[in-house]
Amino acid sequence: MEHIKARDLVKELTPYIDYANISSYRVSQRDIKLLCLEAEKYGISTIVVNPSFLPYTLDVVNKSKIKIAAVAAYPFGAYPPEIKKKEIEELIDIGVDEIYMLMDVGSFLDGKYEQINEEMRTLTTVAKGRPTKLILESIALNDQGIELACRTAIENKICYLVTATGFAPNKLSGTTIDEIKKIKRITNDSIDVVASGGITNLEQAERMLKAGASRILIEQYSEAAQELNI
Amino acid sequence: MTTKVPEEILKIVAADSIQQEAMNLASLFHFGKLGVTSTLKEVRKNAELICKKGYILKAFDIEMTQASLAVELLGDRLNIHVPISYPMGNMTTKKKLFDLEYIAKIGVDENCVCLNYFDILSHSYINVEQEVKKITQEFEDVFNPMAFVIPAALLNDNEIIEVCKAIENGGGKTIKVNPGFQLGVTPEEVLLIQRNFGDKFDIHPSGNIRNLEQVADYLKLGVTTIHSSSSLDLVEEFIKLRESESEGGLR
Repeated sequence: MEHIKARDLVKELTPYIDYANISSYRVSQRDIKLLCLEAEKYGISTIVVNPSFLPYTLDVVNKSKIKIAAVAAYPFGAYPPEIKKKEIEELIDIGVDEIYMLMDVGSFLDGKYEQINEEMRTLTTVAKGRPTKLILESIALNDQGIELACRTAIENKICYLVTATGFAPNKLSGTTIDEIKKIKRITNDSIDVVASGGITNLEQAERMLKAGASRILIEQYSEAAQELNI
Repeated sequence: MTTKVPEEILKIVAADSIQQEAMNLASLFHFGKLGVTSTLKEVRKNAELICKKGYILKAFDIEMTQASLAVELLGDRLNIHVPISYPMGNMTTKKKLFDLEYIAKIGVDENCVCLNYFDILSHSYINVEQEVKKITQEFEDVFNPMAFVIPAALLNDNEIIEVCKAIENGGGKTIKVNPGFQLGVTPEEVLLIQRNFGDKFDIHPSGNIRNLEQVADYLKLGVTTIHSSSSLDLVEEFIKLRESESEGGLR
């Protein structure tokens, strides 16, 4: 009975999963091939990779079933807009379908809001209609910060806000569910959220969807990923 | 907890006063606190501390968006260092090249480039060599030094040797062993490279270096540059221990 329940949960969740290998050091050709195979096996339609193995991923993935997202300015985000622009342009030239980009959180915390506005505008402009997913690292921001970052993202027509990088300092604490609820409340539910960070099992992932997330980012080799293998 | 300054450190930093010994120790270190929440406020605070203490560090490591400020505050006293594709070695060679071009324009003195970990872990050493070659051909006369970061903690001995061969063939002269951020160096990794390559490389150990015994371990191996986000704390610890060891404080 438990097995059936687990299988049902996997079936329920997989349409909402972005399956990623971005914060792992397990990044050989074998790992990426496995990422693509697992995504197809589980019925996941989007995978997320780092730029350095985007070309290889495009070679091995079943493009008729799976879309590829790549991350720009990851994992620290501290690049000027002109550098982020060049990186995103390159990802598009290589053939990415969707773009994750990390906000320059440090500059945001320093109050450089015009720069943040410029980098969000750059992301949307250069993406040319491709889905854009902006990583906020919301745990590092206070409520006013989240509000300002979200408002700027909405004004610049960013498609999704992503909660975490997985690289926030340990001293920052909080749950992704709290962050999701905060973002949905602050934005009056006017932007989609990708829940990422702190997802250790699929029941937690389910709770994130119930809290208002539109998608869940699950890392290959995480405990949650192992539960997909039913 | 270190209770006595290791002899190896005392040999290297020997001077007429504890203050000068501390300066000599500081001059071995790369110091910086990188990360997603790293701010200009923190850069200013650290720069002020470095100036107040009078330390001439080997280099001050900062994020790209902080480089101009660091050059302004400290550029005339010590090297400013920006790491590239850090810490995950996850960016394309093209991106690394335009990052290097950018930091050269704003006056950064040196850098470390995280090689493509995907190529390394896939044993595509020819790609590693080609990346090193492209980068050294364009920038080896611009930055001094320019280190290539290898994720040695992820590799077995043969893999470490192969990637070092690729760096050597590509013209690289400085290797940073591990980026830090979950991947910390061990003396065995440094020794392995030395045994197989002699003095072909200037080796910079990095990651998880938090006490003076560890510093001594690397100095014993002849290392002259150590990366540690605990650098300033280590120098302070050194001073405290020396002052308690010597009679009456400053000699």
